[in-house]
Amino acid sequence: MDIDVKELSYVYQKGTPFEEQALSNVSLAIPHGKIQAIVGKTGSGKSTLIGLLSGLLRPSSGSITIGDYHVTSKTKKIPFRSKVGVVFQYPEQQLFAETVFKDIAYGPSNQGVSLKGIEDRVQQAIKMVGLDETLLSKSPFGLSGGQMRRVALAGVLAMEPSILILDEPTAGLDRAGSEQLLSLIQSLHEKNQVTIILVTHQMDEVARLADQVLVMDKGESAFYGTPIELFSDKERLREFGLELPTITKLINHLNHRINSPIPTSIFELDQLVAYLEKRRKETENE
Amino acid sequence: MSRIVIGQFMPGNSILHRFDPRAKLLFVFLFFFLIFFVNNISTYLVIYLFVFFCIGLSQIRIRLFLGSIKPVLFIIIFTSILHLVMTKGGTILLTTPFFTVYEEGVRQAAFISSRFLILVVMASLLTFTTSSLDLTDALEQLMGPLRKIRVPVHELALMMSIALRFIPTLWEETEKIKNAQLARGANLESGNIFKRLTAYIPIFIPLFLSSFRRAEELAMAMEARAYRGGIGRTKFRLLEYKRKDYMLIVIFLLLVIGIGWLRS
Ligand SMILES: Nc1ncnc2c1ncn2[C@@H]1O[C@H](COP(=O)(O)OP(=O)(O)OP(=O)(O)O)[C@@H](O)[C@H]1O
Ligand SMILES: [Mg+2]
Repeated sequence: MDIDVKELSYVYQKGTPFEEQALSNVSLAIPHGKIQAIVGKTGSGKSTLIGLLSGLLRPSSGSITIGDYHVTSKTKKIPFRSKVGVVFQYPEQQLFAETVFKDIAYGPSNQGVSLKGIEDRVQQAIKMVGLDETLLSKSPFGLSGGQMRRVALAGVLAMEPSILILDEPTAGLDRAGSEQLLSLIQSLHEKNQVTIILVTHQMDEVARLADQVLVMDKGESAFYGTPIELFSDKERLREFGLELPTITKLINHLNHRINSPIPTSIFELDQLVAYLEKRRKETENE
Repeated sequence: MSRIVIGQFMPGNSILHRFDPRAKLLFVFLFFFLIFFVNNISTYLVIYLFVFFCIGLSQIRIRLFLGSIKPVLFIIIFTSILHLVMTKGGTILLTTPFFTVYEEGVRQAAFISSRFLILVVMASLLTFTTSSLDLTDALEQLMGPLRKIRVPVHELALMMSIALRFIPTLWEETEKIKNAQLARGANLESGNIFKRLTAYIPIFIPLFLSSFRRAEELAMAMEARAYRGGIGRTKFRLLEYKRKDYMLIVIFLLLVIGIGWLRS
């Protein structure tokens, strides 16, 4: 399901003294199966955009088209909620059931899936997030923070969404935890062809995962393009208050010392290593 | 999603904002008693004029007062209707097969709803123009003498200020969790009462858990800074009565005299 957002605006508490235009005229197009990153300073409207894309907020103006569904300010019941899975910031805080099984089953049972179907989905989801099945009968509140977050993620995956939205999924995790979660997202994306929308403050994540990136600034779309385009414009990056990804910093650092520069379109360590190997072989042959 | 909480402090610099919170609190408290001596059209007129004068002074938009009346509107309408159909006396204004409306009923309905409205508006005036910090400080000092009969005044005031401080936080938290469960397909809007209550369990449990966690963190933070109750504790912000605060006494006395003279 392709996503097409046209001139989307949102105003909180319209008609009160606390009125706040949180989003103005944002447009984006996400083809099915792509990974879209959304970055921007705090308060720039990222969560608001997510609320709209997940159908929890109704646009003040503009439109959202997801697959065959179309939503404008006049739409009464938003039709695509069940197609879009949202993992909110610190999702472990929404766990509530007495067992991990029941918590993961909450989404699918709300969708009206049969008992047998629910069993299957829960088993699948817990495997997908890399947790042991023996945990299913345990209380979610006795787990570690990282495990709880995976349970919450499994709870969303069990609804089999075709679009998965993640709001800062690695916030508060240590390096190893973030690494695992990112690989998980990557493999989910590769295996199940889900469209992924990732809100993050980590440019390393953008570089590594994203096909497209949207930079938000004061509720407006300040940049929309590929990570390569974004990270090649240092001036604008500074303007947005964003950093370069670690790997791009490394490449720039190396490029200061060598004559023929390494392309800054390399975003993965494996790729960089392969590239350097290749270059070394070439110079040896000469 | 609404962030306006009823009675929320509206920062400003009007004369009402600048009165000493203790003076304001006492004034409103006594005013509530005074209301019960108001019993005819001329006295209600005096009170209405006074209340509108205060609203004007506060420089707060009328719409916000309407907002705080809304939650009690049902009670006001309900009691008015009761008075309309139940109270007998005076000339008959309307007869139907089910009930008769007397002149006295209309009077009572108007008076009772006015009394409610005035109470709510005065209370809102107090909370709109006084920060919760000031309000609890004032309460703590005014209740100070109760310490002699072993009422834990300081602790009560602390509890109140913490509760007030966390209302918006809790509100936000509720919104967040609600959204998360809605995104998981929670159905909060249809079904009978029992169904709806059970539908809210996935929201209440995480909310309780996070409140307990917050409370624990707060307690730890306070202990880490060696907080140990009110004994021997000095105040960072000292309240001080000024000349305009004594003016409130005069205004109140004028109201008392006026109403005592006009009431029937
Ligand atoms: N419920 C609300 N009522 C009123 N204003 C709101 C509400 N939620 C958000 N806002 C305002 O809308 C703007 C955008 O907020 P939003 O939460 O979308 O930012 P964000 O980019 O997600 O920030 P962060 O990185 O901190 O999560 C902010 O100015 C915020 O104050
Ligand atoms: Mg946010």
